[in-house]
Amino acid sequence: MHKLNVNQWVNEYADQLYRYALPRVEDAEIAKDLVQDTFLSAWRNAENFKGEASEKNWLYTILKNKIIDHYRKASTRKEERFSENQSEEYYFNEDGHWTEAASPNEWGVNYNEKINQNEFYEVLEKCKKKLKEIQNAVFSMKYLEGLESEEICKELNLTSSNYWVLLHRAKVQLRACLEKNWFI
Amino acid sequence: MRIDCKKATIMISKREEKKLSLFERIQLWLHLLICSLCKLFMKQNKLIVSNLGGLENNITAALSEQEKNKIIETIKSAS
Repeated sequence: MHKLNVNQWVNEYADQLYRYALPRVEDAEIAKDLVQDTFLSAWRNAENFKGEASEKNWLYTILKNKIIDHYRKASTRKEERFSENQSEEYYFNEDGHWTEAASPNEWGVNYNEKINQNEFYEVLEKCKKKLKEIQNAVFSMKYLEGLESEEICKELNLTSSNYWVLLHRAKVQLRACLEKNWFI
Repeated sequence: MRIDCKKATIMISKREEKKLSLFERIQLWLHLLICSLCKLFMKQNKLIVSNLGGLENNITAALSEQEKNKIIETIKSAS
């Protein structure tokens, strides 16, 4: 490992790592920083790399930990936890029913099929970036990393009821944003 | 016994992780029978979640030569 050629290393893996980080964090700058930190950590700990996993998997493991650290930092900024992009009243009225403005509309697609449209992914990515950091953290840990709710609560220091509310808000906003911006 | 849409949408997420009691499952089932909006919400969210994987595969973004060189320089100066 110590004999490794840094240039070759970065050229081979930087783009892959960047593409992994990009949909998981709020913007490209953060993703770039995380990739750089990943290489730095890997380089500093090169002697601990036993070659049991592939080099690539080892880098991914480091990056995943960096991303979770990033989420954890977002969750400590408590003041923004429950502030909202759009208030809950926008989506549900007093008696808990969908408001007229936020009611889901039929998309006219087969919901069981994969969407093979670049436009869909572009809109999805943009909408995901509009979520509050903490909502994005909860949503990404659950649906991109596939973690269980207990684990996410522990990592982000959330109560179970806070967790479900944050996940709920992320989903409601993401759906509404997609509907508004994705032209089928 | 009856639940509103706000509660139902939260319960839809909980159900994915099997975090509902039998009573709650029945409550949600009854709500979804009569509420087409929540049913639509559920289907659309399933679609979003099942397509998240594609979010990674469809990214073509790359770091510029300059950015890669910056990383290389940072590593070299740190070692």
